[in-house]
Amino acid sequence: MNALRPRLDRYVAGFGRDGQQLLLLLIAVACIALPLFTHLPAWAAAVAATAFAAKVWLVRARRAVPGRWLLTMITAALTAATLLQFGTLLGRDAGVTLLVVLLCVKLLELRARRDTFVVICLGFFVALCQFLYSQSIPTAGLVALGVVALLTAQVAQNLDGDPACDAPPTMRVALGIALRILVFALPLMLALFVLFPRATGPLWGRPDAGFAGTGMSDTMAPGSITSLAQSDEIAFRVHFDGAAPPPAARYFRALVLGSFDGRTWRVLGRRAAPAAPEPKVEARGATLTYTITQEPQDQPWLYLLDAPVRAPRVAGTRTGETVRATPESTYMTPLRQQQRILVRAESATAYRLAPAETTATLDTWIELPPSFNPRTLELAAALRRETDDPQALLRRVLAMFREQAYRYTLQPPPLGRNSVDEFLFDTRAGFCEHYASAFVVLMRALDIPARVVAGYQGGEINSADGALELRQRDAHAWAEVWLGADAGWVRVDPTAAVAPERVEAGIGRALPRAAFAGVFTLAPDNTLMSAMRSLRDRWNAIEGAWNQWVLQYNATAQRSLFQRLGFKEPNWRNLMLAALIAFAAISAALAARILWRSPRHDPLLRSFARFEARLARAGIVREPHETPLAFGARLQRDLDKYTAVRANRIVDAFVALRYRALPGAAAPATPTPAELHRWISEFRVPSRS
Amino acid sequence: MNAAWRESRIAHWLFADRGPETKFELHHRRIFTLPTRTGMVFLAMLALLLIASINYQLSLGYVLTFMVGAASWIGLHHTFANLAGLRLAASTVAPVFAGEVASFEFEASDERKRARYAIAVHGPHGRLQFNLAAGNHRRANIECLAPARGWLAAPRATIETVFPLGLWRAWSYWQPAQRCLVYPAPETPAPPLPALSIATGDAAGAGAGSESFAALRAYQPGDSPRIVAWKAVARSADDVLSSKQFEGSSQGELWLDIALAPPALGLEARLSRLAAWVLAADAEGIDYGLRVFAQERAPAHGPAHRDACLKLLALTGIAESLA
Repeated sequence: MNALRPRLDRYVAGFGRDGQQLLLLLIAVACIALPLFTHLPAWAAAVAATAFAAKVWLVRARRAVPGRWLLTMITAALTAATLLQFGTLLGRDAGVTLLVVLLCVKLLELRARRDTFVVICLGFFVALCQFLYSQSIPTAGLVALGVVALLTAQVAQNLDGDPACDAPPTMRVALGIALRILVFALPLMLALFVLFPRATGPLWGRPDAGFAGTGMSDTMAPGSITSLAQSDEIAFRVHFDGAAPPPAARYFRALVLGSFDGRTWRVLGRRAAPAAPEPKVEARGATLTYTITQEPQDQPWLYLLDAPVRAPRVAGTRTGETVRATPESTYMTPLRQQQRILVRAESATAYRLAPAETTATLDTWIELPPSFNPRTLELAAALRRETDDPQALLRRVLAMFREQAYRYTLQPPPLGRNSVDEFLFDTRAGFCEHYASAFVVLMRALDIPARVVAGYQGGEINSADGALELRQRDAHAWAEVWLGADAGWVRVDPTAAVAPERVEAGIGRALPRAAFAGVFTLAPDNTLMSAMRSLRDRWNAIEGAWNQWVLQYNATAQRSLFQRLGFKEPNWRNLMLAALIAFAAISAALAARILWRSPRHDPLLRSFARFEARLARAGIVREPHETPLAFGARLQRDLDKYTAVRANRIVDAFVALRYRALPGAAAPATPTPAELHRWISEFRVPSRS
Repeated sequence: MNAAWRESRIAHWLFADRGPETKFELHHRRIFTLPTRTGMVFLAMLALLLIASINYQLSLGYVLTFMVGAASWIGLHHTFANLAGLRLAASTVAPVFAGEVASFEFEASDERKRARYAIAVHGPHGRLQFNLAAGNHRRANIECLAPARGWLAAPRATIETVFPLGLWRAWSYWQPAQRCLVYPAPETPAPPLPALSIATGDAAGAGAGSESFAALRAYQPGDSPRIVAWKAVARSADDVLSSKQFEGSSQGELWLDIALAPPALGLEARLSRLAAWVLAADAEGIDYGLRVFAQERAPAHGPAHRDACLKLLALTGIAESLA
């Protein structure tokens, strides 16, 4: 490492003064463009890296920039490549690739100071493009570093002094100035961020964000929920106004599936009348109010605690706050959810769901495909012969699940055509979707209307901020059974019969994950896991606060904030006015701070005065007419040798620093003012005995 | 009221023309600040960033835009502060010949203990850019072409800077109260010196002439190196300097009289010829006197005599003090 430093210095020195400024700009652009490389197509990233290396070589070797024809051809070729790759030049991915490509060509063309400014502007655009992909805390940190680098490069352009006698501007000086500017700019930015009025919708069109992520699909087949069980990503976070419900009641209902084709469950296609917006739920106990922060999922489902007593309110969707209701009292956003949203809802854990279903509706929940699963049908027929009561039949079926040797596992054996038959009688091993599917098929075979419900169950309370966090691996499927007009649709979870710990304590405990190819088992109460979990909880809490207060600060949030602060009419005119006033006030205060510099006395004089005071206490006073050098000669006579040497060292240094200091002309042996101050503070006259 | 008067009143108010000053400290009433062209482009870029953030509803886009916008606003204060408190003091100016470039020196010092960067000073000719460390001082100069002889008033200097971000320009004007003495340009090719004028009187022999070598004498400080007897010095044991004593064959003094130049040349050309004679006589190291119309300088030699003669030539017909 020690050998690396001089070589690096030599390499950088080889650029020359102007070349070093260009190098700083190139590094700044690289900083700001690098995080974007993961989103670019491979050829674009390669072109960018090549252009960067080529420019560094061109600058160091003092070669001329490529000719205009060559650059035009390169631009045309790269634009054509972008068009070929994406089929369009509009849209997020194509636009960003085009921007990076144009930035590379502009870098190659860098020649005069005017061009560097264009590059800096393009760099800020690239910084903004990062946010089109992600606005998480790490991305914010990386972009902040890139912005600091860009501003440093911009400052370095304007630090030139006299080439004859001023030292060339160093990066450290430029960085110091850029950081000072940013620190002063921070309060202004905060004031503007809070006060600048937010628009309620986009300015034009419907800009597509091109989101891709995991989430619950609208069909359920064996294996569909199992695939979600591998993911630790947070699906949504719930802040309850009061206490959170017990784990057994944490069922978050998303969609109801009723159409079975022998293997896959789908949402019922036929719809009766347009659904009423309010859910058909009668509360039978206290209700819980809560706020859910739902991560983007590319699906329209809203996850509400079983069962909602009124329609939820959604903030943060681009097209407003409307929700769509289904006849099964589930809710959806009008469009696929590609942005984080805030949902405010109220549910009751003791309830009666849709007690007034019509027979026609109930008939749709009994249909089964005719030629599948014969053994299940036989079992149903046998059970029907014993009793007719739906409650009794339900108890019999659940007893069957509980007492027979059924396994709850993430890796069940594969199933064939008669999936329910094979599951119930042969393999007897499966995940929640197998149990729910088999249960509903069996119920329907018993002429009891039943349907599959998909959603999330369980979750963990975050120790840092008390939110209930549900991750993708908490995805769950259960069933609802019609038990007559007294009870309505009743929730039945067959998984609870087989693996009650799944419902009570979450999937981490029911199916502990294995690490290192199964060598270790990550049980949740492992000490290492607990330590990691508390770290993870804190990070999730920070991210949750970041999402809510920074990223979710949209028009609704702004309005509610100011209404809470007591402003009755926070429309955009008042907010603009407040923003201007705050801006003026803060910038006046900052201007005063920046411009204030008291002309202080020369610190050298002050130190020398301290030195004279020390000598005066020992009885040696400098006459007013005595110059410092003459004084030093007198000290040599009056003091003992050791003290005199140190005193003269101080006097000589003082004279050299104060009277002979000119820029660039200091002799190499002159001590620094800091050394002089230190000598003076350490100087003592030994007491005369 | 005519337009010229109105414009001069506006300029006086706007630029607070207080006339020439020897010392000048920049403070807020004397500094003007406006955005540069790059500053306007930057503003357009910020507007585009803001529109993109509004359209795509990027909270962090707002943060970025406001951060960069606030940074450029803070940059304005830094640009202003880069000039505020700077002290400029005019120094002496060395005289030059007509046609040469006069260099008006001044000293820039820092009143407010702030490190200042990229301060540009320019006059009509060329531009100087310098840094100034905190509490430090440095000398710099403004250059100006001296077209004619006489007094040349210092040109108005513009002090400006675009530090730190290049988005704002702060500038100020200073009219230094210096003036430069411009000698008439010596005639080229240099004409030969006139002959010695015959002087009446009884000074015989011992006066200093210029014709033949008479004896060695002790070196007098001020003797030109041309009349130092170098060979004698080299031969002497302890490097004692001695000069040659010339004796003029004719008793005469060298008088450079404007009457010796033909009037048909015109005043300036005659003064140029006299200037060339003064320079030639000074180079020879001989005594010479100068007579211009009613004014004259007694014969002497040395740099001070030369400068006095040239000053007399420069200010012929021109008042000594400038109002």
